[in-house]
Amino acid sequence: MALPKFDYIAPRSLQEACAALEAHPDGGKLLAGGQSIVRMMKYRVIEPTCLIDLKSIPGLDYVRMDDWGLHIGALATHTQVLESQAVQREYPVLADAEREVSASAVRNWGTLVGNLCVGHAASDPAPALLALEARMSIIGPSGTRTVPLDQFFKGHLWTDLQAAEVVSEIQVPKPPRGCGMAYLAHTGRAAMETPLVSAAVVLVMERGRCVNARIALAGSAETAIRALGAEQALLGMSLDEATVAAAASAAQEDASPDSDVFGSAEYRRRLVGVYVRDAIKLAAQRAAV
Amino acid sequence: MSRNLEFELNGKTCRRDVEPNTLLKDMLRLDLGMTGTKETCGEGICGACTVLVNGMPVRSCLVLAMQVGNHSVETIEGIGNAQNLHPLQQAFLEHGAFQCGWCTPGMIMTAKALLAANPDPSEAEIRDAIRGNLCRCTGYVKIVEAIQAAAATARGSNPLAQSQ
Amino acid sequence: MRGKVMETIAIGKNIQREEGIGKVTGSGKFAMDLEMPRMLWAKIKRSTRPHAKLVRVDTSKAKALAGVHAVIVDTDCPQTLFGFGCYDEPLLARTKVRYIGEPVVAVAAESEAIAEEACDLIEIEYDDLPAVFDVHEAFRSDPPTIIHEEQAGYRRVPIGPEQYNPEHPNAFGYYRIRSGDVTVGFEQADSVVESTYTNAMIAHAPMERHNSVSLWDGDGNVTVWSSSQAAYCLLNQISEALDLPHSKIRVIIPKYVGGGFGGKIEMKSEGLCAVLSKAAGHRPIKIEYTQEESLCWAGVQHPFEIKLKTGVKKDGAIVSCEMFVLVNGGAYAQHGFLVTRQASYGPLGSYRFPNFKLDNYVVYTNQPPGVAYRGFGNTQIHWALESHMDELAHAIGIDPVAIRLKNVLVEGEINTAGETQHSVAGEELIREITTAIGWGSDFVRKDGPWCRGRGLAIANKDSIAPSASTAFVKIHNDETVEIRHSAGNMGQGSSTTFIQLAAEALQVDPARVRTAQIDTWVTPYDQLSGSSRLTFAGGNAVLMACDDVKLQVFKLAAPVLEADAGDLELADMKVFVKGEPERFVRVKDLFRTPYFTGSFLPTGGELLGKATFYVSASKVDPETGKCGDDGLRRIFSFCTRAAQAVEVAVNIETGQVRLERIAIANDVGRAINPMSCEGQMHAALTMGLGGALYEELQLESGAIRNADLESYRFPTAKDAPPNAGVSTHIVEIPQPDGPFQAKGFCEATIAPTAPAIGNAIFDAIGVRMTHMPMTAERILAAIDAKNEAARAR
Repeated sequence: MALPKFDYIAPRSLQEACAALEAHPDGGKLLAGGQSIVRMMKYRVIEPTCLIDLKSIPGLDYVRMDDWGLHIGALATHTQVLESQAVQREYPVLADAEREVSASAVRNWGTLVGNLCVGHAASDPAPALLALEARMSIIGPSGTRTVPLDQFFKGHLWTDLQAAEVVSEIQVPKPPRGCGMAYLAHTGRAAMETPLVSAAVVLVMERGRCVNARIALAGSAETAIRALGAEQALLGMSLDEATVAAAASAAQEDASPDSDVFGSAEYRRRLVGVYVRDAIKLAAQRAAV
Repeated sequence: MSRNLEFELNGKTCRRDVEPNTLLKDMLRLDLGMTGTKETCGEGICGACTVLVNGMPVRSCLVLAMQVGNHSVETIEGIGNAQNLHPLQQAFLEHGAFQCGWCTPGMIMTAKALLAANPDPSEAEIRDAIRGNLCRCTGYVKIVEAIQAAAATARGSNPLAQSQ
Repeated sequence: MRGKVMETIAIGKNIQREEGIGKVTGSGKFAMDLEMPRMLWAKIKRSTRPHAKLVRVDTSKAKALAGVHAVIVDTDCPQTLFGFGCYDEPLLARTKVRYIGEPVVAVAAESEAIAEEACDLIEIEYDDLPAVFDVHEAFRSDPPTIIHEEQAGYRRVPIGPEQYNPEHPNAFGYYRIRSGDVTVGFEQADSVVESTYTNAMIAHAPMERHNSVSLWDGDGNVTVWSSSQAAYCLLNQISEALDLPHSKIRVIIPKYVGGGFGGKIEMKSEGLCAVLSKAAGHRPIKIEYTQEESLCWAGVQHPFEIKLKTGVKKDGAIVSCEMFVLVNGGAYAQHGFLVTRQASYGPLGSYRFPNFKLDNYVVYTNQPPGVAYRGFGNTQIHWALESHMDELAHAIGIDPVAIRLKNVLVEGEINTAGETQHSVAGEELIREITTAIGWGSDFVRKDGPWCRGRGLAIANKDSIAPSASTAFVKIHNDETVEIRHSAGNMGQGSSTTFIQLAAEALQVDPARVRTAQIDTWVTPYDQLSGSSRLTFAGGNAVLMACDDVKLQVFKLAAPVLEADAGDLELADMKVFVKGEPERFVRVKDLFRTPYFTGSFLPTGGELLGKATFYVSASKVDPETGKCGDDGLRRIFSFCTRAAQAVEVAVNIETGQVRLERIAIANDVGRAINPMSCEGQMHAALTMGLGGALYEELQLESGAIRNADLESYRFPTAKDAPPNAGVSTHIVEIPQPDGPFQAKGFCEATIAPTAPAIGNAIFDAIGVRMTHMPMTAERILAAIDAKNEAARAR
C-alpha cells in the first residue's frame, strides 16, 4: 500500500502550521503521529495534497498539571499521557483508557490530540476525557478558542475544527475531590481492537449519595457521548442495585449505536447496560464516601 | 520533491534523499535493502513492521521516513548477527520461538524494548507488551518462554534450562 | 510418551531450526524480500460484480499512463483452463466474471503506485447476471443461475463417483460412502439424534502475504520465485495455464516462507505474471497481494453445512450414522472436490460405524473460491461430529469421555472404509488430555457472570495416497551433507526434520547437514508440502536416498579397505569394516586428487544418493467409498489423531468466552524433534482458537466486508491462556512404515479446538452452538433463546 504523492511542509510553530493550512485550503492536512491519518491515506479515505507535519515542532509534547488542572500538548503521545505521574495519580480513568489503546508501538508515536481529531466514536480516551469534562484549546486565524469536548465531536469522523485551525492542547479540569473513576471497555479479542462499547464514569459520593456523576460512552453513537440520562438517574441517589440498574437502562436509552462488522446495534445496546452498570459500581467503590 | 534526511541507523549516521510519501518501512526495505523488517497488514495492527525509534517500538508502516530525522532507528539487523546473537535472538533459537519467522523481527524488537524498560517482566506483562505483534503460527507459548529466558540471561541468571 | 528404544544422535532431539539464524536475525530472504534488476510491479484489476458478463473492458487510459509497460486481458493469454483436477479456471476472466475479486486485467508498471493508478484508469462495463451465494440455492436442480454452463465438458481427473450431475448443475464434486444399512441401524438404536452444523468462510492469513516474481525470458523459459508450498504443483499448473511443457518452467521457492497453511498450494498469479513478463519485454514481474487480496481472493476455507443423524445404544455404542454435507465451493473448483472426498472419510478415522451413509456435494457459488486449508475439510467435519458426539452422550446420559472410549478405533482395526488402522492412539490421547485437565474433578463453576465448563474433542486427519516423494542426498568433499528436496518448509520445520533423519541415517552431526533451496532444476519431484505428509513421505525418501548414497560410498571405499562393500559401515564420515573400527577410511579421503587437479572422486561423478518413496493406495469402490480386501487396505498414507480438553469461562451477560486451560495431545508416531512437535500443537491456540471464537470472512452478496487484520480477527498473545494453563502431550505409537516410525500430524492439531470449546460451553451454560465461530454476540443470542424457551414452558 503505497502513499500517493503530496507536498510536505514542516512548520516550526503552531502559528506557522495554521498559516500553512490557510495556504492550502483544499488539500492541506495536519500530520502528527500519523497512526490514523497514514492509515486513512493508504485506504484513500482521505487524499490530502499537502501534509503539514507538526511532529518536529519542539515543546508541544508536554503533559503537565497546574492549579487549574491538566494540560496535554498537541504532540503528547498516548505513551506520554499514560506514563505521566500526574495522569496516573489524578486522572486514573484517562490512564486506564490510554492503556487500552492498540499496542505500545502505536501509543509511542500516535498523539492523543490526533486520536481525538479523527472524531471516531470507537476511541478509548474520548469517553474518559468526556467524563472528565475536558475541553480543546484551538488556535486559528481568528485567535484562540476553547471548545468543550462534547461539542468538539460533531458526528462520525467530524469535529468542530474549522479551516486552518489546530488544536494546541487538551485542558482537563481538576476532578472533583474524593471522586471515584472507572473505565471499562468491551472488545471481541483481548487486544488490538477499538472498543465495541466502553463506559467511563467519574462520580462523587457525599453521605452515601451521588452528588456528581459524569458518564460517557464510546462505540454507542455517531460520536463518543455523554450519557446524560444515566447521569441524571444517579443524582441524589444512593447507589443501590435498583438505582444502578436504572442508570444502566437510561444509558441504553442515551445510546444510539450502529451495526457494523464488529457487532450489531442490538448487541452494542446490550453491552452499554452491562458496562455502565459495572463502571458505576467500580467508580463508586473507589469514591470517598 | 525529495528531501534530505539524516538520522542514526543501528548506531551509524545515515543520510538519504527521500520523498515525503516514503514510509519508514519502505526506506528500510526498498531503499536500503534491509529486508529484515517485514510487513503484513500495512496499517499498524499486526506489528510485523516494528522497529525501534529512540528505543521505542513504532510501526514503520505508518511512520513517514521524514519523521525520523535526527532520531535513532534500530532494526533487527542492528541488534545482532550470526556470529554475535543478541540474547533475545539466542533465546528464540533455543526455545523454538518461531515457525515461519515472518513475525519474528518485529516480535524481537518489541521484546527488546520491553526488557530495556522492565528487566524482570511477569508473563502477563510480556503478553501485554507483545499484544500488538500477531503470530499466526506459534500460539505465543514459546515466544513467552524465550522472552522470559532472555530476561533471565540478561539479569545474569537462567533457571530455565533447555530440555533435551 | 512411550519408552525410547535406542540411543540416537538426532532423532528425538530438539535440534535448532536450520533456518533459525536467518529468521531471528532477519537475514533470511523470503520471496517478498527478493528484488531483481529491471523488475516491474504487477497489479490486478478485479471484478466488482459477483456474476456478470463482461461487456466492455477499456484499458486504453491505463496503457497510456507513463511508467506502464504492459496491460493484459484474457485474449492476451493462452486460452487455457487450469485447475487441480477439475480444469475450470482461466488466468483472466473470459466472457464473464463469477465472483467479486476475480482477476479481469493485469498491469505491469515501474512501481506499485503506478500500477495501482493504472488499474484505477481501467474501465469495465458489466452486464449483471443473477448471482447465487447460498449453497442450498445453488444446489437446486433449478438454481437461480448456472455458474459454469460448460461444466459437463470440463476436463477432469476421476477420483471416485461421477463428479458431474446434471440434476445439480452447480455441484462440481460429489463423494459417497456406504456401509451396512443405516435404516436398519436406526431401528436398532436406543436413541437417535439429528443435528446440523455450519462454519463460516475463513482465511489462512499467512503473515507473509502471497507474492511472487515471474520471468518469461527471451528463450521462452519461465522462471518463477514464489512464496509457495508446492513447487511441482505450481510448475504443473503454470505448464497447463501457459500451455508450456514442464521442461521450459523453473520454480524456485526460497528457504524462508512466511506461512502457508494450505493457502499457497495452488497457483496464484505466477502464471499470469509470466504472461505479463513476456508482454513487458521479458522483464521480471513482482506481485505482492494486498492484505485484502491475501485474505479474500487467494483462496479461502470452504464453508460446510453438515447434517448428521446418529443412532446409539444405551451403552454409547454407535449403531448407525447418516451424514449429508454441502460444501460452498465458491466460483472455481480449485481443491474443492478433493476436500469433499477427504473430509468424507473424517468420521471413519475416529470411530467405528457399523452402518454409515454419507453424501457430500461441493457446489459452485458466486463467492470467492475455496481451496486447501489446514485440515482439508476435517476441521469442519470434526466441528460437527465432535459436537454431535456430546449431544449423543447427553441424549443417553453418559459421560462424553465414555462415549468416545466406547467407539474409538483401536490398533489394527479395520475401519468402516475397509482400511486397516495403524498407529492408532485413540484411547491414549483421550486419557492424556482428560488426566491433564482433571476431567471429573471439581472446579469453581460460577464466578460472577462467568460460568465455567469443560469439554473435550478428538479429531483425525488422513494423509493422501498415493503419495510420492523423491530425495537426493549429496555428500560433499568436505563431508557435509546436502539434502535436495522440493517440499517446502513454511514454518513447520520440515527441513530440520529431514536434516535430523539424514543425520541419524548417516550417523553425523546434524550441524553438518543442510537442505538446498527448492529449485525444480535442482531438487526433484515431490507432490507438495501439504496433507501432513512431509515427515512421512519426504522423510522416507530422504532415508532411502541416504541408503543409496551409502552404497555409493561403500562401493568406492571397498577397494581402499580391501573389503566387500557389503561388510562396510558408515559413521562420523568414516567408512569402516563391520566389527573392525580401526580399519577405516574417511569419506573426504575418498576424494583424492587424480592426475587432474582438484579434490574430486578419482573416477569422477559425485556421491549423490537418489530415491523415490511411493505409497500406493487401494482401489476404492466409487459406489461405497470403501476399499476391499486387497492385502493392502490402505486408502490413505496414514492417519494422524488429536485430542484436546479445555476449560472455558463464559460470561453470560456478554457472551464472551475465555479459554483458561487447554490440554493438547497428538500422536506423532515418533517425535523427531519434540520442541517442533510442541510448536505445531500450539497452533490450537492460534488457528484452532481463532476459528472457534473469532475468525470469519463476513460476506454480503459476494463481497467481503472485513478484509483487514483489525476486523478479520485471530488471536493475540492476550487471547491465549497463560503458559501454565497449556499442556502439550506427544503420544508416540509407531507408524510401522514411517521414517523411524514417525508420521506427520500438523493439520490435526487445530481440528479439536472448536468442538472442545463448544462442548465446554455446553457444560458451562447448557447452550449448544452449531455455527463456528462462536462469537460473543452469537453466544449471547443463544443464551437469550434458551432463556426465552425456558420462560415459554
